[in-house]
Amino acid sequence: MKADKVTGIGYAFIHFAVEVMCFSVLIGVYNPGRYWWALACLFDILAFGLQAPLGVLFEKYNNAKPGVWGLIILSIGALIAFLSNANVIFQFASLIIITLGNAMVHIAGALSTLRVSEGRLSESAIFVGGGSFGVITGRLIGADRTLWWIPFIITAVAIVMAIIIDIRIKRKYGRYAFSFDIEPCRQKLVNKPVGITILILFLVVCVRAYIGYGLPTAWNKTVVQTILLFSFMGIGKMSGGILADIFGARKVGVISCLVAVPMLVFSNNIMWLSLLGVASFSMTMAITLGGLVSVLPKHPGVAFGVTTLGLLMGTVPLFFVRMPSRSVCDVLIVIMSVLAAAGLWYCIDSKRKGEDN
Amino acid sequence: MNLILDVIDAGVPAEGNGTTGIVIAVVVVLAVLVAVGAFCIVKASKKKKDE
Repeated sequence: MKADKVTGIGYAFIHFAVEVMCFSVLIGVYNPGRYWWALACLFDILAFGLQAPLGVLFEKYNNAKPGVWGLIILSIGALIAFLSNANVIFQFASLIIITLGNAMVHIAGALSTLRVSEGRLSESAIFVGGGSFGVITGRLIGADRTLWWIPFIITAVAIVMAIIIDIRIKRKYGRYAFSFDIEPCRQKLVNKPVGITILILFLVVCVRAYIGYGLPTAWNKTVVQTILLFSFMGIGKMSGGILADIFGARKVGVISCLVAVPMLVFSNNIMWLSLLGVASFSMTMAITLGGLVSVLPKHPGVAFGVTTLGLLMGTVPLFFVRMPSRSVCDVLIVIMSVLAAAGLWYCIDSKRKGEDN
Repeated sequence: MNLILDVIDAGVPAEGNGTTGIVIAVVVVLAVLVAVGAFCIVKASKKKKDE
C-alpha cells in the first residue's frame, strides 16, 4: 500500500502552523521579560508533559476532533498573549491555554498519521518533521511584532486542513476510525517485553533531546545558519521514517545514531558537518515512536506521550544546568549515542520494514 | 532548540528572572506532569500485558 501523503503532509503543515504560533508568541510577547525563564521553561514542561494524559483522554473520547479544537484553543491563547500588554497574569494564563492547544494538536497528528500508516513510519515522520520548520519561522515572525497576524492566517488554513483530514480518514476507515480498541495500530517493529521496550526507547528519546537541544554550535551566528540548522533537523526527522520504510527501521536507527557521533563531535566550528550530524541524529524520531506503538498498539496516544515525556526529561535539565564544557560534551555525545544505538539494536526487529515491503 | 540556549545564555534563573518561588512552582508542575504521564504509561502497558 502506498503512503498516505495527504495526511502526512497535511499534518506536517498543521504541526508547522502550531509551532509558528507558539514561537511567535514566545519570542514576540514573552521575551524579553521578567518572567522569560519561567514562561519558556513552563512552555516546555506543559507542551511536552500534557501529551501523555491527553493521549489517554483522546483515545477514550475518540470522536472529539482534538486537532481542530486544539488549533482553536491555541489561537485563543495566542490572542490573549498578544493583548496581554505585559500583564503577568494574562501571560501565564495565555501560556497554559497555548500549551493545551499545542498538546491537543500534537496528539491529533500522532493519532491521525498512525491510523493511516498501515504499519509504515513515513506518515508520522513527515508529520513530526514539519514542526522544526515552524519553530524557526515562528522565531523570525516573533522578532517583528508587526507581523503578529501571519500566524493567525496560517492557523486558519491549518484548521480547514484538520477538518478535511478528519473527514477523509473517517470516510476511509468508518465512524470508529479512531477507536484503537477495536482496530489497533498495525505497527510491528518490536518483539520484546513491553516494559523494557518502553524504558529503553524512552531513554533513547531522552538522549536525543538532551544532545539535540543542548549541543553548543559555535558556528551558528546568523539567521541563515539558524534556518539551516532547523531545516536539517526537520529533514532528518522526515527522512528517518521514509528511509526506515525502505531499508528497515533497525538498520536506519542504529546507523543514523552511530554516523552522527563523529559529525557532532568534530562539528563545533564546521557548519556542514554539524548540520549533517543533527539531521542524522534526528532520524530516530519516527523509529522510536514506531517501536512504542508496536508494544502499545491500542494506545497510540500514550505511545506518543512516552516520546514527548522523553523529550521533556531530556530538555528540562538544560533549563537548570548549563551543558558542560565542549570536551565533556563530546564524551557525553559518544557515550549516549552508542548507548542509544545499542538500545535501538536490542528493541527493533531486524526483519521489519514497512507493512508494504 | 535554540530557545533553550537563548534562555540559558540569558543567565536565568540565577540572575533574578526567576525567583525561588517560581523555580519551585515550575518544579512542582514538572513533577506532577511526569507522575501523571508515568501513571498513564504504566496503566497502558499493564493492560497490554493482561491481554
